[in-house]
Amino acid sequence: MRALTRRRTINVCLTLLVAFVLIGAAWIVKNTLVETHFLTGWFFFVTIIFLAAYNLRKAFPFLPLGTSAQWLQVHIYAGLLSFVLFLIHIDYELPNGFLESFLASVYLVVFGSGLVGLYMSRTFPKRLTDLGEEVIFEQIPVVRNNIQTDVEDAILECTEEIHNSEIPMFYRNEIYPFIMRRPDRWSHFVYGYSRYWRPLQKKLSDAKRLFDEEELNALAKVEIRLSRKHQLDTQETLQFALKVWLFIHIPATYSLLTFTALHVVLVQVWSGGAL
Amino acid sequence: MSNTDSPSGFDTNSYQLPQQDWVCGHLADGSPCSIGPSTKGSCLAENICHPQFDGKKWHCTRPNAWGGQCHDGPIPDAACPEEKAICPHQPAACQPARSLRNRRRIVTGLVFAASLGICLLILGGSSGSSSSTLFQTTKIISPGPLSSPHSVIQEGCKACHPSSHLTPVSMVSEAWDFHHKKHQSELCLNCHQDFGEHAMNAHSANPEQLTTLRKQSTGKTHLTSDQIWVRALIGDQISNAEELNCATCHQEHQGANFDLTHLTNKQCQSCHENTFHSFSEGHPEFETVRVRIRFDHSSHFEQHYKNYPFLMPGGIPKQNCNECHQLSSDGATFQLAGFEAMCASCHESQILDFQMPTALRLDQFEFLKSSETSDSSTVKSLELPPFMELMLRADEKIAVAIDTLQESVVSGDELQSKNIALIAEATRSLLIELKQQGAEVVEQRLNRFTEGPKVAKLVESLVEALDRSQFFELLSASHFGENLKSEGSDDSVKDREFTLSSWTMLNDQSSVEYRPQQHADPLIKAWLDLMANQASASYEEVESPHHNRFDDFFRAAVSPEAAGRCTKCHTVDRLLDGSLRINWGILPADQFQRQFSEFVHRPHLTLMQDRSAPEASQAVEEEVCLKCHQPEEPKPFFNRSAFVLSDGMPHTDFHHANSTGYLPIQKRDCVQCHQPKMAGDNCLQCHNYHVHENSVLRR
Repeated sequence: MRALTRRRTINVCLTLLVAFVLIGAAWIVKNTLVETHFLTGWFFFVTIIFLAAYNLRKAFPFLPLGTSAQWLQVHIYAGLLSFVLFLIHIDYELPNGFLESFLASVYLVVFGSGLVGLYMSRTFPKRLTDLGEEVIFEQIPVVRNNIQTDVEDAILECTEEIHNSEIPMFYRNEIYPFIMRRPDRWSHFVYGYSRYWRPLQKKLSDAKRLFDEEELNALAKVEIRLSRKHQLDTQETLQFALKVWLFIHIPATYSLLTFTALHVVLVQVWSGGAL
Repeated sequence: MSNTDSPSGFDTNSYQLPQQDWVCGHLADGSPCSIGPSTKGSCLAENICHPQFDGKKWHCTRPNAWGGQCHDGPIPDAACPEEKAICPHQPAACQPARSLRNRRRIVTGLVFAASLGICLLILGGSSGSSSSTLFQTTKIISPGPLSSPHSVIQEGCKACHPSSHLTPVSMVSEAWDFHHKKHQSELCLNCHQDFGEHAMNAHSANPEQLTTLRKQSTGKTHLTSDQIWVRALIGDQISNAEELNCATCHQEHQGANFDLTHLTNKQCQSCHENTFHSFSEGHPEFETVRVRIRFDHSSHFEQHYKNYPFLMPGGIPKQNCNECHQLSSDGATFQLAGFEAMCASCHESQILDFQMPTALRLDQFEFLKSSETSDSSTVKSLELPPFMELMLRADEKIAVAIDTLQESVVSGDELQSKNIALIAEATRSLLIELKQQGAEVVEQRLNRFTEGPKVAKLVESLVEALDRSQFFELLSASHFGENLKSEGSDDSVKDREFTLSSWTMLNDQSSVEYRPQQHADPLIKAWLDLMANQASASYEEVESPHHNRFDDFFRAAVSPEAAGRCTKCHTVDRLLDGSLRINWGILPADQFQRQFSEFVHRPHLTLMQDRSAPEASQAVEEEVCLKCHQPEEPKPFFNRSAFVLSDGMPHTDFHHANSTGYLPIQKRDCVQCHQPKMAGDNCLQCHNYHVHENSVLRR
């Protein structure tokens, strides 16, 4: 068994075990006069604070608090456990109050975005690897610009060498729009390719019948760069997705912490001893 | 990234790192400069190189970090070649853009600030002046709709939540102060006032009762370890360890139709040390049905009714249950038809029996005469009637004299003669005062023995009953007592006889006594109630020489041979404070207060009734009754020991002599239906949680 699989199996088993213990303990406590919501609420609050501490941990990499990878592992499984605590806390029912419903919604946004992030961080790297040479997200526009320059150079070279070539016209009508087009993110994200790519490929294939050998050589160079551009678009989309989910996850976490603190104060003050 | 992908001319961009806050404005076009913006987001394009002129040529001063000196060198300005030069590699100026991370940080900050602001608004709005807030804060923080009964409260949150007046700051600090939770429960009691003085105690019982109950069930007087554990978990911040907050069990805001009183069986048992699995498995068997009026059905049906022509001539024996028991309008209980319908035909004559001694009597005048003739031989027969002795004992000197005479009687003793004279004189004074001042005298004298509002009320009742019995009118109209002054009294006075109301004066006017003329005689009841309350010493202490004289009076009053024979049927309870109480009803005096258990008859009768039989057939109902209430073997005829103990005190053990003559209800009969998926077996179906502090302790 590979080390990664083994570690993941152990972690999942431990998480399930703790989840069952939590559910069992909550069931036992629920059968007393102890108000389960208070106990699970405090557990849940502490868990949320711990999960949020991962973001702070990244802000202080010099502190000897374990590696970021270790924190990430704990963050993932504690996050999954938090959902169990959440379900126990709300008693497996939708909350009645406005604030409580809102709080539950914010948590679900945080948890859901975390799940999406987990999925993407576990699957996208492989997709990126399959796309060939990986480019740093911040440098993708530069590389894309270089590709555009290369394509233009190839077309110009072809134009200079071959009189009355149809290639410039083909470039203007078909290739240039594709090169200048912003990445078709949704299509790249879902299908892994742009919806404009295959039609262009077909046009390139069809056009080959019209060109002579020199033009075809030039077109072949262009086609390689177009393919590279298409891969870059996919890479940008995937890398963008890997970064943009945190735009939801982290702000929602801080919002969750704030509203949870309010919830704690209100419950402590207004509960009247339903402890 | 390959070097071929890098922007040409300079080293690989070192500033394009994810943690940078700013990136070149040209990055989006794919042609960023090599140096990037400053950390504060300003473009550094103009600072890339400051050409220096050494007198001959211009030199590039580009730092190594940004690529080092270029080969081309600066281009001198055409107009002023020695004054100014331009760096050929100077990138076009741009408006730097925020990096993705920086944007995320801003979004996070904005969301956090917005959340904090909203929270503060809510916190502020939920305090005191909630009505003045921009939005309906109370609706926002409310955890859910109120139950229907509470939804009609007009005062809003403050009616139930003492925290509603707090400022936001004090609300945060109050969150860690647990005393306010008790105040919240106290607000509940503003409306729910029927739970008595110790409403927040477990079962609303008083501490002594709880201690006694705990001792009965667990043998311990303190909380068990489980209970301490549970209380620690539920945050027992209330000073009195017996108290619980209302919200521990009754949790509001669960919706209009939520049952606030619902508790699971396991929740009930979380406080109880003697736990069991379910009603069918482990629940204790039922005890014999016991009531506060002695009536043994088995003996009556099997023995007395069969022999009534000899025992009670004129009596009317009962044939079936419905003659005495009739279902109440709410179908919960069976109500008794009353003394007249049920008992009078046989037992009224016993109440009116004139042969029985009565406590309400004034006599011993022969003895008093002896004080004037110095004939102390009659002293041995000194036995003052209770009422008369009580009146005389109001004077401490007389009380001492009476005690001395009763403890040591030696004929001819000087002290004895003195005491006799003293008592005789006090008796004369008493009679005169009674005739002249009436009820006021009795009240004054009785109050010398008593303390507290409860006793004062009993005394007041007795005096009122005495007044209504026309006792004082009888005394005023007669020359009662006047013939004591001399032995040779007037014959015309001596022959007179007075009978007024229930009072009878004997022909020689040597005695006046009260005898009940009906059941539930108010004066006898008032006398018994007062004596029972005053006879507070437990009967374990009866042998003490200093025992309470009221005990003796009480014994005389509750004797099976006493006038009225009240305690032949009416049992006596010993309350938790040690005092005794006569049970005038079928249930204790606090019969309208909730008890631990209740049973609603009607639905059970409906289910058990044979529907094929004619409706309302008495025979069928009789049969239905007997399905649960099965008669036990009849006991021997009642004798004296059935009513009082050997020392003359009544039985106060609830389990003694209170049998109705039926076997205990069999749990297995109930279990046939009361199971989880049938009629249910929730504790609260039969048991009440809140009982009341005056409930009689079941021993």
